[in-house]
Parts: sequence; C-alpha cells; structure tokens
Amino acid sequence: MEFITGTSQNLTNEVFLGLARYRHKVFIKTLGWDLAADAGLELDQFDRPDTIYVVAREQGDCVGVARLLPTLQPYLLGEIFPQLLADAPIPRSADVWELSRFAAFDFSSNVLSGQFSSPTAIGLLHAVQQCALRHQASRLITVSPLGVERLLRKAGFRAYRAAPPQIVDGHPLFACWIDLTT
Amino acid sequence: MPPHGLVRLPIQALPTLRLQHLLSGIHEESSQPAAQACGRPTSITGYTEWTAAAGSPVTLGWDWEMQCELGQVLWRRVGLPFTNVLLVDRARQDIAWQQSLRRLADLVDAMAWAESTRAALCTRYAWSGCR
Repeated sequence: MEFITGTSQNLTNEVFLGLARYRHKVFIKTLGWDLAADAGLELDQFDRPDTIYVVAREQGDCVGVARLLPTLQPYLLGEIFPQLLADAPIPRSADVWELSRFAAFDFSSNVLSGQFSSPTAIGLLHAVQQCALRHQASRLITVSPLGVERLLRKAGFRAYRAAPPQIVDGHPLFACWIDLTT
Repeated sequence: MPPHGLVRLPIQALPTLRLQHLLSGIHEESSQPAAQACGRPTSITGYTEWTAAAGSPVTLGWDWEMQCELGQVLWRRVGLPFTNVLLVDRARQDIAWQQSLRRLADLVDAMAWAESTRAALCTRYAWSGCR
C-alpha cells in the first residue's frame, strides 16, 4: 500500500479524480450521506486549493482517503457543525487542522471490515498524522461518528471529545480532538 | 503544553458527580461472511452516552456488552470510557490520562446505568419484547 499526500494543485488528475470518485462511492453510495455530487465525484466548498489530501492506494486503486484543512480558513466543523462544540470557542490556530472525509473501505476485498476498523484505516491515520506534523499541526479536530474514537484508541492516539455527542441525521456525531504529539 | 479542550475535575469531586443519560445505541455486527453464519455464537454490544447535567460540557461514554450468566442478563462495561474529563489531584496537577480513564471507569462501574440504557434502546429500536 502507498500513501500519497498533496493538494489539488500538485496531485495528478488520476489521483485527484480517483479520490473524488472514491468519496462518492463511500459517502454517498455506501453510507447514504446527503451530499452534492457531480458526474460521480464528491467535492464540496472545503475542497479548495489549500486543502490537503492523504490518499491510500493499493495497486493503483484508491482504498482510503482523508482531508486536512487549516482552521485559520473556513472548515467543516466551524461552518457547518459549530453546535458540536457547545459553548467552546471554534478553534482557529495555526497548529490546529481539521480532519474530514476520512474513510478506508477496500471495495476490492471480499471482506468489508467497515469504515473505521481495518488495518488500512490505521495506516491511513498514521499517514494523516505524519502529513499534519509536516504542516506544523500539533492537534487535529474532527467531526466524527463514535466509531472514530474506537479506531483512534486502537491506533494508539490520545483523543478526547470537545463536547457531548449529538444526534445528526439519526447518527451520534461529536467534535473530537486528536493529539498528534503524544 | 497542557491539553486544551479538556474539562479538569478534581478527583475528590468524583463521588459527587451525577451523570444523566444522553443516548444509547447498538453496535452493528461485522459484515464478514464467517461472522454471519447461522447458529454461531453472538453477542449484543453497544454504546451509551452520559452528561453531567443539561448544558454541562462534561461527556462520558462507554461501550457495553449484554451477557447471560446463570439465567441472568448482565450489562457490562467494555473497555475504558471516552470523555473530555481529565482528573486533577489535590494539588490541582493533571493525573496521567490512562489513570484518569481508569478512575472514571470505576465511577461507571459503581453507577446503576443499565436500566436507563435498556430503556433508551427499547425506545430507539422499538423492540417488540421490551416493556
């Protein structure tokens, strides 16, 4: 497995379109999220020139993806889900980045181990950590389902909630802090 | 650099911490074919979430498992809790993260949480066997 990182400006078209198609397959077709799609690609307003992607690939096929956004610019939690922070201030710091659109389904495998429980997911998390550290992040914040906490603990990360979970579209979500340096 | 976003709670205040149920749910089973074979042993596992009071920032959740022993249905906590609470000692120094989680797990084990969890699951999943 290989991990590729970059922005839409320096990833190849093959990799960038591949990750957008993969996100469409995971989030819209498999998980049923109500997201905008165009020609089989899932991209939103947070897919900008400064957005950083971490892509897991197996024999040229995308098997995992993650998105990193600086919190000094608009990001998903701050713009769409600020209620998940309750009364806490929206993080805006050069050393805090947001992790979003994290998925690690291997559709070519006969075994569907789920979005958060596979070795690919753990490998992708560590690749995300290394990429974020290279960009001087010390912590990540992410809007997550509860399963992400279990994955993070299993992968050895120290993660903790910013506030109590809330039901969003029928599923409990919460804002999760991830320490990158412990 | 001290951890940000954590709610620091004096360890001596633990016995007075009153938690109220927020939500509970069942974990989906593995979709692996071997795990779906008819007649195999299975278990019911899930999660339950609690807060200190309405509007409180304190959040504590844990995984649970239903077990049947000697004809009794038992609810057991599985693993350490998930939280935003970090306990501090009497000198107001941070307690080590894992140690703090273990103390919170002790708090959970001393709570009567099973009935609230069971009732919430019955409402959420509308099991016909629930009363």
